[in-house]
Amino acid sequence: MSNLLKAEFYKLFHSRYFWGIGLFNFLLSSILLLDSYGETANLFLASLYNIPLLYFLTIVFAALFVGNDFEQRTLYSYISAGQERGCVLFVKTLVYEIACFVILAFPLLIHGLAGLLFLGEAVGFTGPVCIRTILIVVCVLAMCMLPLLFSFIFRDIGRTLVVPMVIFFLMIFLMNGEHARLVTSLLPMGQLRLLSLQQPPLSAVRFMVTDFLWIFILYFFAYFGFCRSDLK
Amino acid sequence: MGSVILEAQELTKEYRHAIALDHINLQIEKGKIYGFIGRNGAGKTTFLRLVTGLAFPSGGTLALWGKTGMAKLQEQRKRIGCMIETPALFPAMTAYQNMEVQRIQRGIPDKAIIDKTLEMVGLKDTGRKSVRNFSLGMRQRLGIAIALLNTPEFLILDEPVNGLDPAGIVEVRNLLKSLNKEYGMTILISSHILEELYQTASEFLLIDKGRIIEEISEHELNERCKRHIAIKTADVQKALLVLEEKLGTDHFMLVSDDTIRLYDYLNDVERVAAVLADAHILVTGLSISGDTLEDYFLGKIGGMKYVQSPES
Repeated sequence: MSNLLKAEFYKLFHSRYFWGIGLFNFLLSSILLLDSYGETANLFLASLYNIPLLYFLTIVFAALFVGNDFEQRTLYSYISAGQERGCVLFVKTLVYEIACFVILAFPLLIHGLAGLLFLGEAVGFTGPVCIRTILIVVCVLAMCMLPLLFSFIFRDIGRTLVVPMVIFFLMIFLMNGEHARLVTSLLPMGQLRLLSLQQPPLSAVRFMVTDFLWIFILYFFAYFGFCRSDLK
Repeated sequence: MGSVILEAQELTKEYRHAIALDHINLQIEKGKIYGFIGRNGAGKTTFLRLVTGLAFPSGGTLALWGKTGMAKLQEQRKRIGCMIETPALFPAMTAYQNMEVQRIQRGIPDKAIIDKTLEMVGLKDTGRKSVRNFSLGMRQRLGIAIALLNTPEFLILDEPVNGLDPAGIVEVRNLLKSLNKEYGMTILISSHILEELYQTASEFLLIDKGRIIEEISEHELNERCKRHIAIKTADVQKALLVLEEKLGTDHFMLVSDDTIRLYDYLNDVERVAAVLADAHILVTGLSISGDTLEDYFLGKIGGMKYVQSPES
């Protein structure tokens, strides 16, 4: 499995999509600060506020990094070379999640540092910073699992892009609907928004359990979609 | 049993509406080059996908080096190199980077193997050119290079010469033959270019409608596609009579386009020509020829309507 992990990191490092989307995300996130800075307490939270909106970029990344692997049949070459399907899925998930986290969290880090250095802002979380940081990490990971699931079910670029994108807009719609409060606290995307707005009551445990459930359920379906079916 | 690399017993693959493989039984022995022949949809690629772990069988057993069961089979697949259908390549990467990904995932410590393998397939000087700018033939060569990267004991190639120019076809043929000779590599090639396959393989597996219809060695095939003297003449009946009376043979056959196939006197064509000339028979064509693998295969699958039938 370590060889597979090394190979996937080599691919990620040489992926123009990763660097391109990462850079674009940083630029877009910085521009969106103009709007979100007024909604939140500081630059870091303003950047965090933008993450749910920038979720669509991880959907694009999933299509290009995972969906493309299926379309070019490169993922299959691992299996033909004797790698276990479960290992292939795990490694791909791990590297994809790390990549998504880097893409989404990089602006957060830069904006947070900028706020700290140039505006003299504190991180500004209510409650322990460590727990909030872990919450952000888990929320982002749970949020990015959805495109991954569809890439392993559809195994192409087109549907991996379109279906999660439709769900993305649906989630935004639901988060602004009648049961917004409930939906927002259940969806990782909404949880991030609540964290950025520091809206009470925020139960870290409930958030964490919900996110881990999302990760587990989506990974479970991806496993059965990939490990038990014939590949083209 | 030690020399058997692959053994399929009653191997079956069913899809929702069709049976792709129908209780296949076959053995692939070490050190031989197998040609896998079949029409489109005959089940060749399905069989190769089962062997390489991309698909699961609906029934029967598959053994690689005597090992069966999903986990053990997967472990044995590390000894295989393959290219199924199209080469699996990262278009944005260079040839070297593509090879590097495969080298890392296979855990091959020696980086020099990449240059060596690229040189073997004639892709050493592609530099920083990304694969998306490669021609079809170059992609095919790279696919073969990836399959050869781990110096596999068993090499599986699906349409390896597809898109290659004539020189490339000869290079690949020579490469495969030398790998077989030097390393004792067992090779299974599926191809539609039967003439090419005939020149490369030593054993042939004929598949049709999901069933292996024949396993035949090169020697047996040559026997069956027997060489003969093809005599073309307008006066067929007289020629047949002369052949019987003057040459004392009835080992001939008349085929549909008034060509006589004479299976004797292959080393004495001049005498045949002289006898016919003495009898004042106008011969418009006289040459040594034989059935091709293509004719033989079409005959086997009942596709002879596309070619001249000796019996018709």
